[in-house]
Amino acid sequence: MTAAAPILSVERLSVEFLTDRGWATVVDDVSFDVARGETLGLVGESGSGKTVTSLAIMQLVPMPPGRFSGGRILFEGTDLVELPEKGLQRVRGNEIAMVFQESMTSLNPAFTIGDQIAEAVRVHRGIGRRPALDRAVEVLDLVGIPSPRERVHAYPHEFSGGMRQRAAIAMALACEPKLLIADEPTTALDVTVQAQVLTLLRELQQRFGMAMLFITHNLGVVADICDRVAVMYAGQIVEVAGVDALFQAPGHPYTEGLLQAMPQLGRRGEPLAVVPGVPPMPWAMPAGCRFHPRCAYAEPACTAGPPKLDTTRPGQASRCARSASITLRGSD
Amino acid sequence: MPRFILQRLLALIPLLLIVSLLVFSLVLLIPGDPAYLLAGEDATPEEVAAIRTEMGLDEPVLVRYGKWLIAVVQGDLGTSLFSDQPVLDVILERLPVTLSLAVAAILIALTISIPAGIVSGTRAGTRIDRAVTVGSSIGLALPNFWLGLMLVLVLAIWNPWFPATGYTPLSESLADWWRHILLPAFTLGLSASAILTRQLRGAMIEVMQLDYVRTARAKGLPHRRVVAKHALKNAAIPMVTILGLQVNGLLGGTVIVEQIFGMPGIGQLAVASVFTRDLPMIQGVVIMAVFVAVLVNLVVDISYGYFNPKVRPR
Repeated sequence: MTAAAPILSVERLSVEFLTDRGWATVVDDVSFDVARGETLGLVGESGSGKTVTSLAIMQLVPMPPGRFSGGRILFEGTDLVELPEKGLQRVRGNEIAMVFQESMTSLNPAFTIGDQIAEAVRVHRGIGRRPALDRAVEVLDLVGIPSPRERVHAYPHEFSGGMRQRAAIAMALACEPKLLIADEPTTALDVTVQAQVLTLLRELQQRFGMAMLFITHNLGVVADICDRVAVMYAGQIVEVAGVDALFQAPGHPYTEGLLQAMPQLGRRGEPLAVVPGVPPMPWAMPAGCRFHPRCAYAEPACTAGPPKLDTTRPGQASRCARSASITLRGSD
Repeated sequence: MPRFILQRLLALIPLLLIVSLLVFSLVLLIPGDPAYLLAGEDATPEEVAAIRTEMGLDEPVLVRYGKWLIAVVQGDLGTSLFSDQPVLDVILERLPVTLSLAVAAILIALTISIPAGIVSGTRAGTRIDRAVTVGSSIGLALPNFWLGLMLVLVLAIWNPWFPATGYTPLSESLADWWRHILLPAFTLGLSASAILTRQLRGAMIEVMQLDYVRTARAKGLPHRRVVAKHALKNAAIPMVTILGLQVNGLLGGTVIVEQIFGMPGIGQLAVASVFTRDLPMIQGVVIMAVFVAVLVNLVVDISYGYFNPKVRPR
């Protein structure tokens, strides 16, 4: 999948935030590629740095309190970190679009759905109000909003949660971006609506041949929609693998923990497995491997120095000093 | 929408009734007997009694209130005790002066506060934001009688660029109207502009951090458009509320400003009527002031629907 030139290449990205205790690195030396037409899942707990990573790609990290402390973000060969604001405005919403978690708050309550979709089209395509609104109707229809010609004049509060998220997806797709970043787009939705929205995203992705960076904490969703997965822990990528490999033979103890913690049907009555402990705070990172205080396989060597993200098998890399000597359980 | 406005207008009736009761009871509360006043110092008790009967002052209070209210509803606010002119005529003659002063003051307040609030709200913590904050503190602290006198002194007497007093109707000459209205309107509008600037600054800071502003930026909109469209329309909601309150305060402020600048408006009329104990005139002025305040609040309520579609009636 990763052959050819990737559409997005994040190289050694680091982002810091100013906290009460000084500068804290919340995204630390993160590298990954997204190939054309591919869906890469970015998985991790809250605070693992996955949302900041996605905002960094869009160059939307609030500064202050954030700042870049290194790395490049190559989109079709252009470094977005170096690109001036004008150039970024041409990329945002046009080449790379984003769908956010909370459709209630991410749509502006003061303007109609149609207006909010059409304005992106007008800015990027330079077309008039009417044709832009027609385009809005078209994409609303595409994402399965019934009677889009009337609904285009509705306000966000007149839509249900699932409809709003569909409208947000329509807004992102209006200019046919090459890369869609979806930041937990189904987390705030009911389970049935979740499945509908995932199906929709998968269909649209195949139809337009978009690449997708799918951010989630839900491994079930990952199995459903992703080709490859990058697992983040405490600001670092701890494992990258194809989705099947990740589920069958995880390469990092943290991934194993996440897989074991997934609730599964047919296991009623058994207590759910949990990863013991809590993730470290960015200003108090453990020495050596950041996961070692919570790791069942930890040994004294794990505190020695930070492990590197090493290839363990073709297409799979793990940031674990012991990855060669331990066998981890996949999901069954 | 028309139905909503009609509903709101109907809801005003009980309010106006209560106000009318309060206004009417002014007559009862003010010490001194108007009949004595009218009859003059040397009047005999018989003459006073005759005047009292003529004015209906010997009837029961409720009857007097009923008669008065019926007349008021028909547009008859009585006759000035001082000039013998119908109260309504005098008020309508002076109303344009006060209204143009108030409207000009609001326009000046908005012209200052909208750019200042946007600039400082989107650049919170910078030097320009601090300058705006200091400026609005000064604007708030200056009492308008002092500011008015200073403006007259500096811009009308030392440098005779503006007339110190007087008023030219808009219908006669736009330029002269503007020259006469600018200083008083600035005097009246400055503190409102300071309050509105602070309100808008705070609202902008809050709104700029919201998700939909991030969405707007993620769509690739230019910064100006994100601020002027997506942020401003939402940040304007609390500003409109404050504007409604400010307008009511501003109408009170016209009393002082019209005195300072010698403008023949309602404020000046109110002061003169109090000094001459011209009760019907005072009642008329109060009713008119309440009416304007109530209308302003109605306009504010209606404009919420524009800024916030959630409260729009269906």
